[in-house]
Amino acid sequence: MNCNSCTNKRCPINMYCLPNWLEYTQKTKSTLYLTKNHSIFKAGELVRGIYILCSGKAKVMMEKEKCNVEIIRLAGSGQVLGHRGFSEKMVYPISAKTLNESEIASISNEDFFKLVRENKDLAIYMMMFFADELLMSEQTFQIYGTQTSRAKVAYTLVLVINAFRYADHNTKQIDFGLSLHELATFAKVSYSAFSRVLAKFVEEGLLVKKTWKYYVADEAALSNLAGVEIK
Amino acid sequence: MKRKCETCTHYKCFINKYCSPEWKPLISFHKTSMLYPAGATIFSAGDPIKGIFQIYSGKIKVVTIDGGKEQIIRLAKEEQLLGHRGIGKKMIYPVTAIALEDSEVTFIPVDVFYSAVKANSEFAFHMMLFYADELNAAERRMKLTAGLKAKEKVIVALMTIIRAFGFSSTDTTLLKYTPTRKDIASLAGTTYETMIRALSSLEKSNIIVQEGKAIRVLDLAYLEKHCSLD
Repeated sequence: MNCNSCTNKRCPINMYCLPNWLEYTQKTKSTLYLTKNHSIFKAGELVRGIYILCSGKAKVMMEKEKCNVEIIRLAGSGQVLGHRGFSEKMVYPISAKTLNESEIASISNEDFFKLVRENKDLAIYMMMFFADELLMSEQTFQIYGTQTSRAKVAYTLVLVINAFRYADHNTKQIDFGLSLHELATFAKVSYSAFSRVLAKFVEEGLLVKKTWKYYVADEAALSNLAGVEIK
Repeated sequence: MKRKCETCTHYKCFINKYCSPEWKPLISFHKTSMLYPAGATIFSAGDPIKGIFQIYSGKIKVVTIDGGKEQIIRLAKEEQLLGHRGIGKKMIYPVTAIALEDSEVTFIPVDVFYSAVKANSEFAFHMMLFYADELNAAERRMKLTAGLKAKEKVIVALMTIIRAFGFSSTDTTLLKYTPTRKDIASLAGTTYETMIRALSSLEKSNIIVQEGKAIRVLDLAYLEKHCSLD
């Protein structure tokens, strides 16, 4: 993807950098073409820069205890990856893997800091982005720790939609990206509970199921149940 | 009481450190300062966000209250920001801030804060890094609450207090500020009784000494080594 002619409206670099800085990014970034299930970075590695998913899908995982790895975030086209590494230590506390074939732009720490310092709109966006991530992270922890299965599944569905958007915007077909088993783990419910709640949502008219595909029928009700807006 | 940003000597304050000299009088003009006695609430979860707070003096705890149970998620002191959680899309405080001792807190209206961030790229840049650190700290804390034993949780709480407020300048092993035992339990995420037992156990092993309300640390290296926060 060429930054000078990119049309991705979710990419903060594209949206908030001035044209001369887009040109600079195009010249200095490195592009990775990764296959499905490929590691992007691992917990414990030094932070070399920030990643933008030009296309594809990725999952971000945190090792809670030994042998217990939890998905904490899903990211889709145009979204930032690896920002959790920006701290005093500059070491990734999390790992990221692709969920399908992905094109990923890697921008070095030095260049990213330069972009943030020179592009005011990007600096504001990044500040607000981190603020939202902080809020979302604490909200996720609270929802997965205390809420009912219904709320957890609704919240997970909204996170999936916000990360991957709809597979088809007109029909509002959910683009799961992950297997239902993995989604159930993400939602911190058992697979059978996840399937039961999905079936209940279909029965209640929140979702429509057609040949193994799920469509959102009532965005407002789903969003209300999840406590998070569908963006 | 209104102090001027342009003559302030709090050099760690983000406004002082990262805003240009032209911006400081403007912020001084718009800001308001308030004195909060110990125990007073500065803002409550659910309140709409109207601005950001800067602590001029004193100590503050930031808590979440879930089902009547208080959990301390941050300790803050002078020169630090307050009320940044929730700035974003919803603009509603997700947390409550309570003064631990008499504190003077400055309030900057949100539109002035945004304008300052927009006009001062270094301010924006360091606010981004500040949020990044807060995100990391929050996730480390959340990761911890699941798997730790009570004693480990209390060690984490003690290290959090040491990192937030440090040691007394005249007595270098005595905590500069010891929160109440109830607050230490809220910080550790344990019951009061469990925390008391853990403190006694640390005292028996000569790691700490309880001197009335105050706590003296005899073996900081042990606490650092066993603090799973790192």
